[in-house]
Amino acid sequence: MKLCSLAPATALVALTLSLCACEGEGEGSSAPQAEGAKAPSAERVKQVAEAYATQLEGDYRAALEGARQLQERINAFCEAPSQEGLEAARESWLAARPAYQRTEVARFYDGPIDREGGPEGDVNPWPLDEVYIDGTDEKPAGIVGTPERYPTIDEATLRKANGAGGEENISTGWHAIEYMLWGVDDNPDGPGRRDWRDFQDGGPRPNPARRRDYLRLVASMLVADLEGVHAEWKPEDGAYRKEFLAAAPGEVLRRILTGMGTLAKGELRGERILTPFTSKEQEDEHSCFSDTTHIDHRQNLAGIAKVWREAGLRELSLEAGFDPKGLDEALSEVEAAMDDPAFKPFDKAILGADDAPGRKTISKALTGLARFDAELTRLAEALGVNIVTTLPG
Amino acid sequence: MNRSNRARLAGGRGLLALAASALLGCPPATPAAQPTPTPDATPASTRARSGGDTTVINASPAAFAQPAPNMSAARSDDHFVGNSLFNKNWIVAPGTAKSRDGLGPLFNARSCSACHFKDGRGRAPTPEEPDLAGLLFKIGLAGDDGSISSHPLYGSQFQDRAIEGVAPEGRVQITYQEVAGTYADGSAFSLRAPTYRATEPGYGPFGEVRLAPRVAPQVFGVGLLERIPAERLRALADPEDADGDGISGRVSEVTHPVTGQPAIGRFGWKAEQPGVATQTAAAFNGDLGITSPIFAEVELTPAQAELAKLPDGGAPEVEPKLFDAIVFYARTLAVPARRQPEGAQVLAGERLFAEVGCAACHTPTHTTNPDEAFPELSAQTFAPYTDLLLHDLGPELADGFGPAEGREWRTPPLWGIGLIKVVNGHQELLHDGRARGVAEAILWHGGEAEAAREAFRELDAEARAALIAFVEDL
Repeated sequence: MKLCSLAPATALVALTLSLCACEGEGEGSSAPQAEGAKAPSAERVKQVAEAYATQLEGDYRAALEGARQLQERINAFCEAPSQEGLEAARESWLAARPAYQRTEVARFYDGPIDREGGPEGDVNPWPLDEVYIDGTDEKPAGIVGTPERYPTIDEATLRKANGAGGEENISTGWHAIEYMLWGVDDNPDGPGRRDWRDFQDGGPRPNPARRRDYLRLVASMLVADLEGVHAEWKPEDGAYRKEFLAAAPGEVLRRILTGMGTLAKGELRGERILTPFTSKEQEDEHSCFSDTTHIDHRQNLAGIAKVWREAGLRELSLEAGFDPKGLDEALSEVEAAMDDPAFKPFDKAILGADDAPGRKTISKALTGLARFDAELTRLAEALGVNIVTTLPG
Repeated sequence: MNRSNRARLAGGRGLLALAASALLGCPPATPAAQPTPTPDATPASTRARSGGDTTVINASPAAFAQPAPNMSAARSDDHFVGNSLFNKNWIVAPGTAKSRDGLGPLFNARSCSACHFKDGRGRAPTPEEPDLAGLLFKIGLAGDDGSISSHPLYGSQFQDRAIEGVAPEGRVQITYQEVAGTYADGSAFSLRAPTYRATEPGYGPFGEVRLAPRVAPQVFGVGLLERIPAERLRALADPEDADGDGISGRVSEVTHPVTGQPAIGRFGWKAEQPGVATQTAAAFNGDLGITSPIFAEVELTPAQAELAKLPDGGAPEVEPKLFDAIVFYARTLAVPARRQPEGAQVLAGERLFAEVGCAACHTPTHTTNPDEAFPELSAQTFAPYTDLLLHDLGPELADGFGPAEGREWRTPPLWGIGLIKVVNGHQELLHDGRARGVAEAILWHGGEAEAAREAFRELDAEARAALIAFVEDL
C-alpha cells in the first residue's frame, strides 16, 4: 500500500535482505560496478552513514519536540477553548511539520518508521476522509459524531479504526490533527475555517467533549509514536542506529538511496504532485486543511538535499568517480520550481490551463524530480547498488 | 526472444535488477528471505517472460502491481495516475473531492483495490475478516422452468453495502461442507462445497432467489488478453467438438456496450465483457455504484426508486480523463516473470500438463498484432494459459446463470497463480474461491474437463506434485 504503509510491503524487503546478508559475508557487491567507477571504502561509507543517522536523529528530535509542544497547546486549548488557543495550536502544528517532512527521506527501506509494525501508517497517513473522523457540518458523523458506533474514544479504538475498511478511513496522525484544527477546507481562498466553539460545551455543534477527547488523544499518540522512532535513531542506545551502522556498506548505501529515490519519485513526484496535478483536486493535496502542501513538498526535498549535500553522499560519489553535475542541477531545478511563488498555495497552483503559471511551475518540478531519479539511479550504479524507487503497489 | 529485448530487460531497474543481482551467488541467508529469486529466472530466459516485453522479475507482494517496463516515461505518468485512482476510496456525493464522489447508493466496495488488493485476487470473507470485499454475488430469481432472470426487487447484482442512511440489499451467509475423495493411488483429499444464503433482505422478500458468486481476479495482463486476435480465438473454438476430443470451447458472442456491434466477450468469469474499458465500466457501475462514460446509470429496481433521488456525483461520476487513466493503468500492468521455468520438476510438470489435457483449454501462448497506438502491447508473444473460450465445466460448478444451466465458464488465465499466496496471502481459486490451492481447483473440474481431471486423479503423488509445481511456477 503506497499512501501510508498501513500494510508494509515486506517481501520487497525480504528480497533485499537476502542481498545484504550476502554482502555481509562475501566481498562481492550486489550490482555490477559501472565502468570507471571505484567502490567506496567501508570506512568512508561508515562516515556517511554516521552523518546520515545524525541528520535523521536531529530531524526526528525536532519533529518530536514540535509534537510535544503541539500536544501541550492542544491540551491547553481543550482545557479552555478559545480562538487564541486554537490559533496557538495551529501555530505549533505548522512549526512541527517541516522537521517531520524532512525525516520522510528515511522511509521506504523498512527502517523504524515503516518496517512491519512501524508507526508510519498511524503517524502520517493520507489522504484522509474527514467524515470518517467527524461530520463536516451540523450532521454528526464518524468517530466523534457517532457515540453509538464508537462508545469509547481511546487509543485502542483509534488504532483499530485507522485504515479499517479503506485506505482513506484514517483516524490518527498529523492530518487527523490538522483536520481537527482547521476543519474542512471549503474555503477557496485559504485554509479551513474551524470554529473554536466546535470544542466548547454548549457550542454550535454536538459532541464537543468527544471532539476534545479525540483531539487530545491523537496528539498524545503522535508524540508516543515519534518517541518510539526517535529512540531507534539515538546515538547512544538507538537499536536501529546500531544495526544500520553495522550493516555492510552496500546495504547502507542501498537504504540511503532507496529512501531518497522513492521519496523523490514515487511519493513526492507521483502521489503528492502528479496525482493532484492531474486530478486538479485539492483533496489530493497532502495538507489540504491547512493549505500548507507546498511546505510539505519543499521540506521533503530539503530532507533529500540534506543527505546529498550535508551527510557526505556527494563527496562519496565524487570519490567513486561519479559526475555529480546532473544530480546537482536536478535538485536545483526542483528547488527553484518549489521556491517560485507560483508553486503556492498548491491547491491553487494545480488549477487552470497547462500554461497557467502554477501548472508550468509544477511541470518544472515534475521534470526535475524525474531527472533527479534518473541521476540517482545512475549514482546507485556507480556505487554498485541496486535500488527500487517505485512505490510498492 | 531477440537480444535487444534481453538487453532491455537486463538494463531494467528496480526489482528486476535486484533479482538479477541476487543470482550472483548469494545464498538466501536470512529467515526473512522469502520469496527468493531462483537461479532459473534469469533475464535471458524467454520462457520466464510470461508477458513478453511487459514482463517484470518480481516475486514480492508487489508482484502484480508493477508498471510494464517497456513503457515510456510520459506514459508511465498516465499509469501512475490510474494506479492512484485505483487505490482511492470513492466518497458519498456531494463530497469534498468532486472527482471522486458519487459512491453507491448501493455498492460492494469503495475502491477498485478493495477487491483487487495489490492488484491481486480477492477471497471470500472469513470468520476473522467478515467484512472482506473481493467476492460479490450476482442475484436472480428462479422461474418455474428453472431459468434465472434478474430479480425484480434486487436487480442483477447483490450489493451488500450502502451509503449512510440507505439500507444495503442484504448479506450473504456462506457455509462450507467438506466432501471427501481419493486419488487413484489411494491417498485422500477433501474439497469444500460452498452454500450461499441471502439474509437480511433490504428491499422486500428474496423469494426463490439464486446467488452466483464472483471473485475478483488479479488484474495484470488484461491489455494483452484484449489483443489476442479474434481470428485466433475463433480458430481455437470448436463448439460442436468437430475434432471429437471432448473439448468444445465456444467464443462468447456479446453485444459491445459502446458500439452495439457483435463482439467477442473476453473478460469476466462468463466472458461477458469484450474489453478492458467495458469491464472496468461494468465494475465501476455494479461494484461501486459509479457511472462512467460507458454506463450512464446505476441499476435501481422500482423497489429502490427512492434512491434515485439522492444526489449523484455528476454525469458521469468518473470523469472521462480519469476513467481512461484507470483503463490505461490496467492495460499496462506488468506480467510477473516465472520463477524457475527450467527446473526439473517444473519441466516434468509442464509435460504432464499437456499430457493430462489441461493445455487443451489453458492454451499456453498467444501473439498480439502490431499496434502503433499501444507500443507496449504491440507484437508481443506471451503465455497466459487460456483460450478465453467458454467451456462446460459440469454441474458441480454450475450456478444456473446464463445458457447451459450456467455450466459454462471462461477459461481463466493461469499466469501469476503461484504468486497469489505472496501477494494476497491465500490461494483460493476458481470463481468463488472454494478451491484451496491448485490441486483442489483441478479436482473441481468436470464437464469437458472431466477427462483431464480424471487423468490428474490417476497420477501418482510425484507426478501430481510436478504438475502443481509447474502451474505454481506460472
